[in-house]
Amino acid sequence: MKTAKKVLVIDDDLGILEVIRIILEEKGFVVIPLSAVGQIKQMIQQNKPDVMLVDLWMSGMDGHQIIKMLKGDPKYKDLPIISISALNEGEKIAKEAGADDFLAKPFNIDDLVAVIEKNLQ
Amino acid sequence: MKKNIFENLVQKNEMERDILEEIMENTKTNLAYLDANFNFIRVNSAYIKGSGYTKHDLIGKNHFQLFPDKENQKIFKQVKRTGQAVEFLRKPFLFPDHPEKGVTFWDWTLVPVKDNKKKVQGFVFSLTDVTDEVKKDQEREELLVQIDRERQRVEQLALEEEKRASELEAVFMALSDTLFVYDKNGICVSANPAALKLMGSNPVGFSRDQIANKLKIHGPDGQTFDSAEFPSTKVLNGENFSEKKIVVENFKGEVLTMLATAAPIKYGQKVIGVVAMLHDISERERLEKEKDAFIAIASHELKTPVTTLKAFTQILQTHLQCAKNDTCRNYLGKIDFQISKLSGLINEMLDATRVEFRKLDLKTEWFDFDQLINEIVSDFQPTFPTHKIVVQGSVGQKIKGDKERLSQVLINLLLNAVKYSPQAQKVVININLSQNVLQVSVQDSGIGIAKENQDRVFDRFFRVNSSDGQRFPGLGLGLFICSEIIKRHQGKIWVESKEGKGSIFFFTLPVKK
Repeated sequence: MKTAKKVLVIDDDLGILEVIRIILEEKGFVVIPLSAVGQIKQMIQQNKPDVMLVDLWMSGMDGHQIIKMLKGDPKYKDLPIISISALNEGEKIAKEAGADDFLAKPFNIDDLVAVIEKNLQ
Repeated sequence: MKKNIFENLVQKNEMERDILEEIMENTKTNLAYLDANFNFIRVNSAYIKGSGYTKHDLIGKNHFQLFPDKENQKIFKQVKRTGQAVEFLRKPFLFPDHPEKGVTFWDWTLVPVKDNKKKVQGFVFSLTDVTDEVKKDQEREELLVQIDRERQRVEQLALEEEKRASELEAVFMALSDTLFVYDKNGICVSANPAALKLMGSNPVGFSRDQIANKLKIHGPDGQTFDSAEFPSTKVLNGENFSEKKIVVENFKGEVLTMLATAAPIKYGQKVIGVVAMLHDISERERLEKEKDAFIAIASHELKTPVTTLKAFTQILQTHLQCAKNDTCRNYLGKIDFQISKLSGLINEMLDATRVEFRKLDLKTEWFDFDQLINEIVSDFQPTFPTHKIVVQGSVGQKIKGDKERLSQVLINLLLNAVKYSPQAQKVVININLSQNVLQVSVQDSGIGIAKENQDRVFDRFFRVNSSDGQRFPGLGLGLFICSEIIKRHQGKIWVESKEGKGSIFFFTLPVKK
């Protein structure tokens, strides 16, 4: 049996976090939802996700800073990061920070699944 | 012996007469001898020349007949009566037969000649023309008057200059902007109170580099720059005006964003100094940042719940599909459609806010315009099967622009065409490239727009209602945003329309080969 791929989802909006979890679990992914960004590196080490979904703009810490931090660390730089945002300028900010892909809010379920699968290859 | 004395006397008299004749003829003075009744007896050449008559005209004629001057007549008669000579200097005289000569001036004397009984026998009339001399004197006087007038004018100018200088001084003192005046070597020679307030000390005597160091001048993104980049340096090097956005730290350590400008002080063509001004734009910058933040927050906060709603609707749809509940699925489809509409309205509102705040940024790239049209039409057509979208013409080359934004314009024009032509079956897109200008039009045969409203359709919140009062949905922002997008592409957008017949919306885009 194929091992389920793990997706670490970081978003401070609990509604989004929940809906993403439901969608992805239905598609057979293991979802690790995270609404606070305090112990991020620790969470990655513990859960070893295959891909990350990061909201760009959250209270507490900006998504682009998380992406920058991880992409700048040799230990985590190969972990694919997809940035999601409702900002029009989001794609530019995400790419500059080093994100591998970008998904605009609001999104279609199919687009969400497609972008995750693309980055798992 | 007696005979010899007589002959000698005669000889002597003749000689004296010859000498007198000689003197009379060669002198520049006009001389005339008149008898006791003022008839000309003798005149010299100078007199003839000066009188304007011939010798024949003069001799034997009465002076007053030829020169009927009443005042002179009185004087002559007085001399005859009193036997006293008279002298006049610079006496004006107008020749009666030669008015073209104008007023002439004469020094003259009239000396009575008396016999041994002291009776007046005649007169020696001598005149010297001093017209030129008098005129020269008059000219000199006029010149003096002119010089005096000029002196007064210069004094007046000096006063005005002083007033202007005083006005400038007042402006200099009262201006809340910071002003530094530098000489051509870049040394501060003057600074206004605002400059002192910024620096915390008097900058006079310091160089521009020293002042820049003290103010910790750097660029808005933290970059340091060389003094060659200062507007004042550029002006000292010959530019007429220069400005640059800079960040400075005042003496209290407060960081201020300022607009630095400079203009030359010229003496003739030579630049002898420069005025450098710093205008505090910190507040303006802060407001700009607030605008950016507002757009970002509004965008984020409005879209987040829509995202969740949309995703849950889609989940439910897939679940109900499995359960084969068509009615519920149909209703969910309607919810999903409405959420998409809500999302579209939010985007429209945010775009309008961006336009208002001048924050609508373009992401330009080279793309295939014909392909974009095809994609849009094939996405659009199934949603609006009532209207056939006909495309005429093509570009045949890639163009540079913001693909997303231009497709937003096209979709908006198509949506309007369909929305405002409920009875029609066709919408025509026409594409034409000519002389590096791409012109696109979207034509409908709908309700049209009244002439007085045609200019206003691109205004914010303007909405067209049909003549029968039918309302059409929407915020009235679509064309406002389209207009801005086209303008940002250096293109033009306009409408040609006839009420009841339909409208054609045109836009142009400059195209580079």
